Amino acid sequence: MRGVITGGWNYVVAAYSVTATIFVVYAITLFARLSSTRNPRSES
Amino acid sequence: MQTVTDNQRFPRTPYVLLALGAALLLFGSWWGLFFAPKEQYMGDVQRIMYVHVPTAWNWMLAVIFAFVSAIAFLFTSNYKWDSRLEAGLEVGSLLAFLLCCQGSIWAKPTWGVWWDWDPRLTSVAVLLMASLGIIALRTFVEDPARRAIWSSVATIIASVDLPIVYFSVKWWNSLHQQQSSPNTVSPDFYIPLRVNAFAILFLMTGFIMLRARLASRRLAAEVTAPPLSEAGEMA
Repeated sequence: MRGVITGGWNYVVAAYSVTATIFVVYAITLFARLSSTRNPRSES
Repeated sequence: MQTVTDNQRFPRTPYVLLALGAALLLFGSWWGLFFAPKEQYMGDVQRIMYVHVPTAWNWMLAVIFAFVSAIAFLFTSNYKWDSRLEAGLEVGSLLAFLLCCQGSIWAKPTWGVWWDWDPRLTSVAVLLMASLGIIALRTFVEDPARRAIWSSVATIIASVDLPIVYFSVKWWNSLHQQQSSPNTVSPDFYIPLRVNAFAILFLMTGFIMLRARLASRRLAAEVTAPPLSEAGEMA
């Protein structure tokens, strides 16, 4: 049928993979930065 | 100016939000990928909507959060708002970058190009660049008071672009489709769309809480650290 997109699962997989990767990588970097920064309260 | 504190009344809340957000995102994505029906014209490619649209909604919330934090800092001079501003800017930039990636991947099979200088895409790119510029500005300014004031003012100016992003598809002849509403989205698409909207909302909130905590810790360390000259004498 004209005007209908067929297939395209590779784009769907790419979009979900990018989403998961960006969230996971950001969470890891955030946890790493938090753990390397001292909590001022814990020193008092 | 008020003192800098690492306010942790609910230390585990962001971790709970992140876990809940991740679980909901898995559930919503499973529903959207394998349970929701194909769209009539776009076929399976339309399934990208279940992550793209929730990302867009939550990115706009992050920009509004940064805007409110900037206003609140200028009125109260309380540094907790500066930390929240920094968090909102960083997490907002992350979501804007993700939004551009998802949109680009969706654009290729539907529009035939990865990118187009369409009003919606251009206005999002402008706000992403402005946010990154403000984050860069914060790294260059050493004085905490100037840094907070300048970045608050810059954030308020940059936020003017948000209504332009929202209304761009109505004001101009845009390649990007107009906002969806319950009248334009089939009921079969509601559940994964809304589940993922809450999933990304929880993830964004958890990230902003943790990032604000990091910013306030760094600020506290910065304020209590001795000047460089004294540190040199001590060594």
